[in-house]
Amino acid sequence: MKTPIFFLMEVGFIVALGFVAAYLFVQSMFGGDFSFRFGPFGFLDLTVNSMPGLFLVMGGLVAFLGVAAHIASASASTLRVMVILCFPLAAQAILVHNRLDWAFFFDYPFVWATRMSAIETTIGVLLLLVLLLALRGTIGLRLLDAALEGRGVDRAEWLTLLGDSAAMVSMVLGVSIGATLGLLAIAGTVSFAEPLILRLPWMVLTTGLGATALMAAALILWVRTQARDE
Amino acid sequence: MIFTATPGRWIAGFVALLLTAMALGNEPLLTVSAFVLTFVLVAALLKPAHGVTVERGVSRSTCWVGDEVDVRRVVTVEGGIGPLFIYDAIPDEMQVERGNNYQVVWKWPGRRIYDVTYTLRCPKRGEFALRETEWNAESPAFRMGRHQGTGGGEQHVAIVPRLVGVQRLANARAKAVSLYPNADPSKIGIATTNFQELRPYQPGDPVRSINWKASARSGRSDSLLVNKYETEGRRAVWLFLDGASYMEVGTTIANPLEQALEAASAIGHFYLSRGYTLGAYIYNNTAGFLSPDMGHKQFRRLSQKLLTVRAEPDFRGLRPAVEWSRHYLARLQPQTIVLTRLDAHFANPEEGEGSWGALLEGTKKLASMGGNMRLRAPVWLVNVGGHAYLDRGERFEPSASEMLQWETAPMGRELRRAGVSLLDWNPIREPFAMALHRHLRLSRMLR
Repeated sequence: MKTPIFFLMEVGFIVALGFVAAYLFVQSMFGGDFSFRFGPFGFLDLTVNSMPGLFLVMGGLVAFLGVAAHIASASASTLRVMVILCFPLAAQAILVHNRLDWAFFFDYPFVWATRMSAIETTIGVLLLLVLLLALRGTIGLRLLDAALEGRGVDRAEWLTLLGDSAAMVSMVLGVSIGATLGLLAIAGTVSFAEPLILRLPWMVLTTGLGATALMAAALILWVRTQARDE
Repeated sequence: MIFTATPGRWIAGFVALLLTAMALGNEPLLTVSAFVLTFVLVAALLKPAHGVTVERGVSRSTCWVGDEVDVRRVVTVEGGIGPLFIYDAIPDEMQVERGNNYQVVWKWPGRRIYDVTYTLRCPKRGEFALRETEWNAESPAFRMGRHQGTGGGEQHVAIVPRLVGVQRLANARAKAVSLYPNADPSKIGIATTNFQELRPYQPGDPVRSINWKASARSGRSDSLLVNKYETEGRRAVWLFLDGASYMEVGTTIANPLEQALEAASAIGHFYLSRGYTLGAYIYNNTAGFLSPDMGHKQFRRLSQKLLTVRAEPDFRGLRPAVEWSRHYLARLQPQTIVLTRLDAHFANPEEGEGSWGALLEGTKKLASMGGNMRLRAPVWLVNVGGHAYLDRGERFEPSASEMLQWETAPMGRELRRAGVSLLDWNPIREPFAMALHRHLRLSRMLR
C-alpha cells in the first residue's frame, strides 16, 4: 500500500459524505406559516428542494469544499469541516421525525416534510457517521504510513501493521453497525410483541420462573455432590 | 495529533445525542446515539498491549572507532491487542548499520515475545549512553487508549580511538641522532624501586621479584606474576593536544580533532608499549592534564582521557600549558609532540598577531627547555591539515584549500627556525602512520 491510495480513499469518502448529505437534504422540505403574525403573505416557503439538479449541485459543492479543506489543511481540519457541512444538511431529515413539536409550543409553526421513513433516515444518518469514522480511520492510517516509512521501518512490517489496523477499524465499525441493527431489530420485535406481552399473566410467569430457577439450582447442587462423592 | 479522542469524549457525545433524542422524541437520533455507545464500547473493549517488559543487552561495552555493536532487545508482552511501537534513542554520533532501532509490531491476544537485534556502527570515539527502550502501545482502532513506558536499563558504550598502524615504524631503519643514553629508549637499564606493572614470570627472573599475593589472587596455578620496575635511563614522551573548537572543522565524525585524538592514541600506544613514560596536556580545553606514567595502565588512562575530549571555545594557547607542565618537562626531558592545526593560527594582517604568536612563543619555550642543546629532545609539531576538510567538492574550493596551505608555509619556516620539527599531515590523503614514516625518513630522526 502507498500513501496515494489512502489519499484517494479519503477523497472517495469525502465525496460519498457530500452526496449522502445532499440526498438527505433534497428528500426533505422546510417551511413556516407565519400568516397569523405577518398577514396572508406571511408563509415562508423554503422548499427549494424540488429544484431540478439540486442533488448534484449540493453534493458536488459539499464534496468540493471538503476536498479543498482536506488539501488546504493537510487533513488537520477535514473532519470538522465535513461535520459542519454535512449535519446541517441532514438536520431537517432528522428533525422531521420529532414526536414532540417544541416549535409549536413557542408559536413558531415550522413545517417539515420528508419523503423518507424513520428507518431510511436512520440508515442515512448512520451512513454519514460511518463514513466520517472511516475517513478518520483512513487519515490516521495514512499518517501512520508516512511516519513508519519516514522512520525506515521494514516495509513488510508496516504493510502487516497497516493491514491489521485497517482490518481492526473495519471490524469495530462492522460490529458497531451490527449491534445497532440488532438493537433496532429487538426494538421492532418488542413493539410487534407489545400486545402479547401486555396480555401475559405476570403472577404465573414470576412464580413459574422462580420455581424453574430453584429446580435448576437443586439439580446442579445434586450433580456436584455426586461428583464430589465419586 | 488530532486523532487522540478519548472514550470520555465519545461518551459525552453519546449522552448529548441521547438527551437531544429524548427531548425531541426523535427515533433516528436515538438510534444514532445507540450506535455511538456501541462503537465506543467495542473500541474500548479492545485493550492495547500491556504488561510489557524489555530486556536489552549490547554485544560489547567497549569497542574501537568504526566497529559494530549489536543491540538485542527481548520484549515480552503479557496481554492486549494492537500496534506496539518500540524505540531506542541512539546517540547522534552512532549510525544504525543493520536492522532498525525503531520497530513496530502488531500484537495479537495472548502472551507474545519479540526478539529483535539491530547493529550500530560507532564512527566517533567517546562514551555514549543508550537510553532505556521506549515502548508505546496503542488501542487497535481509533486510538481509544494508550499505554507507554520504558525498560531495558541504560547501557554505556565506550568507543576508543583505533590504533593506527604506528607499530610498523618499529622496524623502520634510520640513523639514530642522539648518542646519549638518556635520549634513547632503554630496556635493560638498572631497575629502580618505582613499580611499573605485573608481568608473567619468565625463567631467569629473581625469586624475590615474584609477587606471591598477586600470583595467588590470579587463580592460575601454572603461572607466577612478578613485579616489573621502571628502569633508569628511560625515555619520556609528552603530548600537547590542541582541544580548541577550531579543531572541529568538517563533520562531527571526520575532523582534525578526531584525527588528532586518533594520532595521539596511536602515539601513546606506540611509546607506552616500548616502556616509555608518557604524559599529556590537552590545552585550550578543560580536559587538561594527564600525569606522566608508564605501562598499560597509563594507556588506559590516556584512552579514558581522550574519550571525554569535546572541542571547547578556549583560546588561551600553548604557552600556559607549557608553563603548567614545566616541572615535569624539566624532570623527564621528554620528546614533546604538539598536535594542532597550523592554518587556524594564521596571522591575519587585519587581526594582528592572533593565536600564532602564542603558539610560536609556546613552541619556543618548549624547544628551549632541557638545558644542553645536544641533550635536548626534539619538539615535534604535527600540523593536522584542517584545510583538507574545507574541500566540499565545489569547483573552486580545492584551490582555496591549497592557498591556505601556502599561507601557512612561512609559519612552518619560522617554527623550524625555532628548532621545531614540523610534520605536515593531511588526514584525508594519507594515514598518520604513513605521514610519520615519511617524516622520519625525511628528517632521519627515528630513535
